[in-house]
Amino acid sequence: MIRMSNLSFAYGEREILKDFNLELNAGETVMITGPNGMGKSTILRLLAGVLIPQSGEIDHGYPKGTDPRQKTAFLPDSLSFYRSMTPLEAAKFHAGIFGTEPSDLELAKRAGVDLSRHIYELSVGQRVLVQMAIILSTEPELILIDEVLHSVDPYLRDILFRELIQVMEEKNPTVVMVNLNFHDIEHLADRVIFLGRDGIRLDESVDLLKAKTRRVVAEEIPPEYPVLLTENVMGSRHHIVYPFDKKIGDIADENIREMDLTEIMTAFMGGEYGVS
Amino acid sequence: MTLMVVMPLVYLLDSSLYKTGVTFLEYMVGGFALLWMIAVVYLAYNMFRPEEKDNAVEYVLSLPIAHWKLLIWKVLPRVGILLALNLLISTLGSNNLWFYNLSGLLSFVVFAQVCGFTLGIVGRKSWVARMMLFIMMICVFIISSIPPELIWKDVVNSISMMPYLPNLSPMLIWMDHVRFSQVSYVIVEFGFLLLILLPLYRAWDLKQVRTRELSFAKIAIVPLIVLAFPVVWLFSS
Repeated sequence: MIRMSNLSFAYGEREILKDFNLELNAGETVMITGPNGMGKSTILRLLAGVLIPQSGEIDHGYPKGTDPRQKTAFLPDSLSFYRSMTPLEAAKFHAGIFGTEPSDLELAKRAGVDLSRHIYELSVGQRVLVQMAIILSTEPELILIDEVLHSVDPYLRDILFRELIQVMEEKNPTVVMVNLNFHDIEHLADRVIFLGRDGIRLDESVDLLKAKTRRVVAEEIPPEYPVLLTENVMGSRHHIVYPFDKKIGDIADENIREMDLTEIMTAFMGGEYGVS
Repeated sequence: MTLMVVMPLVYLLDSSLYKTGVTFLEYMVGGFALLWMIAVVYLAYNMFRPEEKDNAVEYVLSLPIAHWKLLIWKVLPRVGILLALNLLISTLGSNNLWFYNLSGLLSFVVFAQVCGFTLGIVGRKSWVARMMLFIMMICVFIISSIPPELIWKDVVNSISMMPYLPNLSPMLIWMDHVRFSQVSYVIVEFGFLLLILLPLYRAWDLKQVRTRELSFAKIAIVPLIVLAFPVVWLFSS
């Protein structure tokens, strides 16, 4: 288990995290989402050891003296890498640091990446694949993926997800993904964390979240319903209710609808921005 | 490179040099000595330039390498190159670049590397940072050119003359019998860095948004200071 306790972090004067607490269970896949500027990428950077918290601590659960970075694979949104190297050189360099065998770059080969070209010559999608192939080759126990998948075309994204699922099935690592494209990882994530202005606004398993959120179509709904967001759709009023425990009042069953993850998260975002 | 190409041409064009008796070799050695002075800072200032150019800073920081090891890999070859160049220039007759002794030279190199590195990552592209670097280098150069015992005696004298501070002048007699270690330079220079320059950096608040680099610099300072002692000790003994 990874435990982040009372973490605080600020970029200069701008405070991003204050007394932040989070526990990640071994082997679970967590999606962190939320509006921009709430600290999603900062959490990944802190977990990856790129940033050091100003206060608080991160316990990766390893014996004392173990560098957690040895067991972590980090794919940042900046796609930070030695771009002047070719993928083969980068794989060799990375393996040299981790003391493992260099990646065979099978993932990149499958996507038709020319391995003799410099990384800066590759498209963004190809770079993501190369970097993913390299960082996964060290058999990490913690995989951190920032919001980079939007720049990968659907075909490459499919290859990438299949590879990731294979690694998850074989090695059972903890995976933390920052994502704003919920459709892609709806079936991959076990748990969703929504970061709002005041820290963690939602921390729920995906199945439970879907079971507890409903779209209620009605002009007015009883005040007992905790409404996340109200919107006008094609002339009727839709209320997103979370948590939805039981039907209250005389609303017809066909007016209470289930929602997919994208709809739910969009409603949370809207609520965070104060849209109603 | 431009300086190296231009220097012989300037020498050939400058007829006054013939009159003063400066030979072509002396002129070139002087030019290289000047280049060396610039290189001391430039090499450190650009220590992480390849990583920055490649956008690899974040990647490097996520690798399981202790930050102090990373710095030693970067600093040691540079110190070696600068010392070899200095040796070459000195052999050709530039009088050890006017340093009091080898320990003065070494401490200057190490210190300049630290300052250049710190400003290189915190204040890159900032003219305030460049000006500070320039002023700092002059100060450190002056410090490195004075025998360490004189520096310490000056410190003791200054304290003794100040009102409300204890009179330390009896210490001067004791100091006459003490052989000052080469690491005195390091203590003076790093004292200068920690007490004057770092608060100055902070006051100017150079590129505060570069938090990752700033935190890296903070981590780097201590190992670099620790590194400076054995380097100066080893090379000068």
